[in-house]
Amino acid sequence: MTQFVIRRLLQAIPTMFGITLVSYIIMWAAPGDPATLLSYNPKWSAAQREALAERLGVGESPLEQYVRWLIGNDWRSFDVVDDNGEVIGSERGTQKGILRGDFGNSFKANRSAMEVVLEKIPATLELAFIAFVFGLTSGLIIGLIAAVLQGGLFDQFSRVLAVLFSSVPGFWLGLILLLIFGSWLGWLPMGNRFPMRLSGDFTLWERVQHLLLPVFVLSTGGIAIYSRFMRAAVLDVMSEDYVRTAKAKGLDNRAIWFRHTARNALIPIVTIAGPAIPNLIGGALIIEQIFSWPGMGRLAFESVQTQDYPVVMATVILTGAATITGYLLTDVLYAVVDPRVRLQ
Amino acid sequence: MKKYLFAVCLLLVLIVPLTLVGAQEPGEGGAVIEGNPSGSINFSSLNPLRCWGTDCSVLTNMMFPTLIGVDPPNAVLAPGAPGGLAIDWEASEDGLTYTFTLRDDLAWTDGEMISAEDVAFTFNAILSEEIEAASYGSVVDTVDSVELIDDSTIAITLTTPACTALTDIAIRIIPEHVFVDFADMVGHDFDFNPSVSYGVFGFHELMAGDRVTLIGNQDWAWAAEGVMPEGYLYVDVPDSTVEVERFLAGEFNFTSGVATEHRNRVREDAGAQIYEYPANSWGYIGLNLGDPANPQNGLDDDGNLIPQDPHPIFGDVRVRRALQQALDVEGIIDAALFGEGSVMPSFDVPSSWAFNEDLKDNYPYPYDTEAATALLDEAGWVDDDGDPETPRVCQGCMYAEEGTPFTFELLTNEGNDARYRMGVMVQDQLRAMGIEMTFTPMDFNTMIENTASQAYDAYLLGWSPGFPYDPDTSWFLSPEQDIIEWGFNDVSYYNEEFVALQEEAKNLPGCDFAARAEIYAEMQEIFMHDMPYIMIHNTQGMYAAAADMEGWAPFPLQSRWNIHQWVARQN
Repeated sequence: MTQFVIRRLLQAIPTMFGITLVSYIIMWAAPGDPATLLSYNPKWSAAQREALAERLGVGESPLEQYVRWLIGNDWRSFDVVDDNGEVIGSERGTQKGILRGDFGNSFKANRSAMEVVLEKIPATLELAFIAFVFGLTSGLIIGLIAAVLQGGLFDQFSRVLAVLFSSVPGFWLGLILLLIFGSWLGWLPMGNRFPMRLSGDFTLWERVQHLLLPVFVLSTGGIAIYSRFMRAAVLDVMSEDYVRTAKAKGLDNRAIWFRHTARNALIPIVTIAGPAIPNLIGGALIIEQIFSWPGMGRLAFESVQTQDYPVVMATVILTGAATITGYLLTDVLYAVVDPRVRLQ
Repeated sequence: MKKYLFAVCLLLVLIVPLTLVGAQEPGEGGAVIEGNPSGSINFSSLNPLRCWGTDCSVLTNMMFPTLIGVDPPNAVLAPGAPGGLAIDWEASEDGLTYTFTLRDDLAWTDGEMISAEDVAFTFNAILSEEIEAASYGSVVDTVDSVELIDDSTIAITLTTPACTALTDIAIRIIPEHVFVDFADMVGHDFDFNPSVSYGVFGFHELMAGDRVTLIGNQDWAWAAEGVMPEGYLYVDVPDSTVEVERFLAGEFNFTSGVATEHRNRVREDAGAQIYEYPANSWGYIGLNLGDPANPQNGLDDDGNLIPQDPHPIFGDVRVRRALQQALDVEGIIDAALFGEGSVMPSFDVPSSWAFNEDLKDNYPYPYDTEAATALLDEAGWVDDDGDPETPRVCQGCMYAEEGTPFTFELLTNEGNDARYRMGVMVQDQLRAMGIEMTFTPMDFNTMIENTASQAYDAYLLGWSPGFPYDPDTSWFLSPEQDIIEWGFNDVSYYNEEFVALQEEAKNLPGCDFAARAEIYAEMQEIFMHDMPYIMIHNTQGMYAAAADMEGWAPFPLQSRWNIHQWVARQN
């Protein structure tokens, strides 16, 4: 197991390089440039734009920019010129590069890009993790009951529910729920993380209220997937010999369903739950837009729109690492839950 | 008698508490809660010098004093106006140096007196170019030097005696004593915790991507009876539909911009207070007058005009006029903007002090497809085959090769539903005229790249000049702005007489409004004669406040001018 994990982590290094290189190329190739976007104001002079472009480093070739982003530029000196273009001195670069933990400064905010990204992690994790747990738990329970009551009313209901939750767009569902529960009934707040109070005070229940709708909307996809998978897995396991043996031995239904059936049915669930982990970091743009949630989805979208390269690359790094971790975790968990599986 | 006295006393006991309940003390007027659809999750800064975007400028405008305030009813800079430090100023004879006398009785929230040193520090920080002064970039070109005369007197010398200069230097002032030097501002805690300020509100809390909370400043000099609201919440709400729903549900009690497609709902809300006004923003179709196959700058390095090849289609003014007359602009406004706009006769907004009222009689050229057809035929763009499915072709037209079809591409930015609807209608109406127009909405960055390169045919966009409004057009219609890659005169408009009048109006000694208005009236006539733009609409703006918001009395483009007098429901 340890060797497997180490090997996978080593394999992840060139994968990450590939992800960042491709992302950088795509971003650089996109029309427009960050300096123009930031200075798109008739009151800015050409000299000011050029100075901004120089500060952002976007005048260099994409390869130079990528290398600087990777290994920094504090190991080289640059000429300092006066207004007439005369060289009056030299100074060293200030960037260390991501290999030394320096993700550069956000073009817009001119502060650490990673700091900008990490600020959004709590809000993102809060929403995504709770939605993941809720979706997974609800889906598994619904799938198990549907399998137990196969062919019955609940089974039919779960099938319809899964289709509905898969096909209804999240933004539409979010808007409708906001209208019903926020506007018409006035039961729940209509967005943001905290109650709108000058003091900033809040109670736990108020936080829960703010989470209810976005969590539900975000979890619908998971409920649909996990419920169908669980149902199919349980029915599959039900036909195994050891389950028939357990029934023949006279074990009660609870023992059969939970000890012998459900646990074994969870094995394939692990393979689809693991890849959900990157979503915990990546955020959910549309849900965040509808519910005014300050998460990574909105940040990534805005950064791409404004071509804030350092922030975009910081989010790429984070989500790339989360994706690799998610798939690695999936493989490891699979081996843990099924002793027959040997990691090679 | 006793019964009478008893009745009177009972009445007093009942009535007096009611009147006391109605009266609010300063700071007890509840919280003003406004939705912010343009909130940035990557918040730039609450330092007005480093603030990029309207999400922060709305806040810094309420937190920091300005050098020159705006008189609210007239929307012009005025000495002693609310929020302004300058109580008087004198201009030198050559119009280059303004000596400002400042109030000497105001203190920052930490007790330090506000003085001319703060003003000098603010300007010199921008001029040093050690910080990128975001929306105050024009100060670098406008201001030559700043001289501190005494604690309440400062002289600012301009680079040119332009009439727009006062607007350019009416900037927010920051506290000098907070910073070690100019460079100290970059990355300073002041960006997200401006604990020292002086405005109607002071900073309380920032949650980037969620909200900003401000608290009323009872020491604000222009609130004679105190600042009524306890505070102000500026809440991020990225979706405009959700913003309106939250306002109608009562979560927000004020909105400074209702999207056109939602305005009827707000109007139908029985309780909402509504204020509608002609905004200073307008929409148009810009026609590239230069040849997109060979774009040129307007001027060379020595300031001489560079001859430009004309656009093969739009180079002919008859074609441009024909396009205007082929479009049912009123119908477009009704359908695409839901009627939330008015016809725009020229480049000056109808609410402007320089607007030429006489223009309305003749401009824009009226919707008249027969006249448009006649103009196109005269210009040599003819329907040669009688087939409505095929476009007109050049037969004796001015610039294109014979047989060239009348086809062009109209660009606009994605994400603007109103422009999308307008573009579709324009395409439809021009098709009926035998003009084949490809309508291409695209990402804004891509659009800028296309228009800035001047390798395009036409685009559908809008302008939203700043406040206070000045009719100067040099920032988007001068040859100096005809620069490939970043100039704003991307239609390459040039008219010698227009440019001369433009300079005259901009630099008129004394800057008398009436005299400048006369010049702009003439310029508007020339502009509409040349038609580098097809005028579409002037936008109608709307503010709305909750029914129980007392004291709300906005002016156009000044929705919060008297926010210190508002009384909201308790939150």
